[in-house]
Amino acid sequence: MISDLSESVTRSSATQSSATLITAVDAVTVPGVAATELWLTGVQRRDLAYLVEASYPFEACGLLVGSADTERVDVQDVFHARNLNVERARDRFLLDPDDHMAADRSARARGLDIVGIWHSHPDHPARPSITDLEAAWEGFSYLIISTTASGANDFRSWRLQGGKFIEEKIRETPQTSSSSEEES
Amino acid sequence: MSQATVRIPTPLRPLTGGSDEVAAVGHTVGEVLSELGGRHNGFLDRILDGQGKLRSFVNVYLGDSNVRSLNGLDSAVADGAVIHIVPAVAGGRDIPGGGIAGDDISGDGIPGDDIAGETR
Repeated sequence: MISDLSESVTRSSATQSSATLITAVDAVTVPGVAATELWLTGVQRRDLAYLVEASYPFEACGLLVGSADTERVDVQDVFHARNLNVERARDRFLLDPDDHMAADRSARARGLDIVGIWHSHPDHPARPSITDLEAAWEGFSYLIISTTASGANDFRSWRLQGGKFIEEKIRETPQTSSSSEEES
Repeated sequence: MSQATVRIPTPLRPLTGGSDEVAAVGHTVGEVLSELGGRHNGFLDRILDGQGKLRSFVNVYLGDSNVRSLNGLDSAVADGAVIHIVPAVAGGRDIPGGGIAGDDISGDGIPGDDIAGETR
């Protein structure tokens, strides 16, 4: 079952995760290719850290729901999806299309879109693999979270443009008064 | 002939003029998609292969059901039906040295290091 983490995980101990928070990273600069930025809240990053740590040593995956334009991707919700690749769950994922459908419906009902995919790389850097490249779609942000037995340690986001993965900066969405109350 | 609403995922919207939802007609899912493809150049090529079959990396839902669990592209469409196109999403980390899943990594010789920015 798909989980709306903005509700379920916020109430859990996930917000107490000691995972390293991501900081902005420098994107690969490619002439003629517009750079984008992925904006996440601190709560969303902790939710994601909790999920990938809970799934370790297996891969976790899900969807990012929000809005996007040519310059930035604003994530409103993080959805956890089932990995249908059970036999190779340590190094592969196949996101359950039923969960994708549920997230899409939820997004559209609120005037939002699926803007990206997230998944973990257990014991592996947060860089796209050949497998990631072969299955990628242009128009999505691909957030990859490297995790080890010690926890999530690196968050990086990528976009496929012209057959290449271009890294996009990750920014922290400023905390509003309402989200501050939610987090506490 | 039934009129259906086809919901377009973000990656395919450049092919529908940016529209996230498009009306199309047909008796079956295949007919609806073909009618839509006739109006939007390049759209059908992303959905169907050269034999006119649904590509493996695309899922099509009729209402709540994946058409692969129904009658495929021949699934009958009722007037007012909603058809969702859902991109298949997959991936995963590379295995250093082509070893078995679960191999430890040291950060050396990472296949992924060679991917970003390289031409497919």
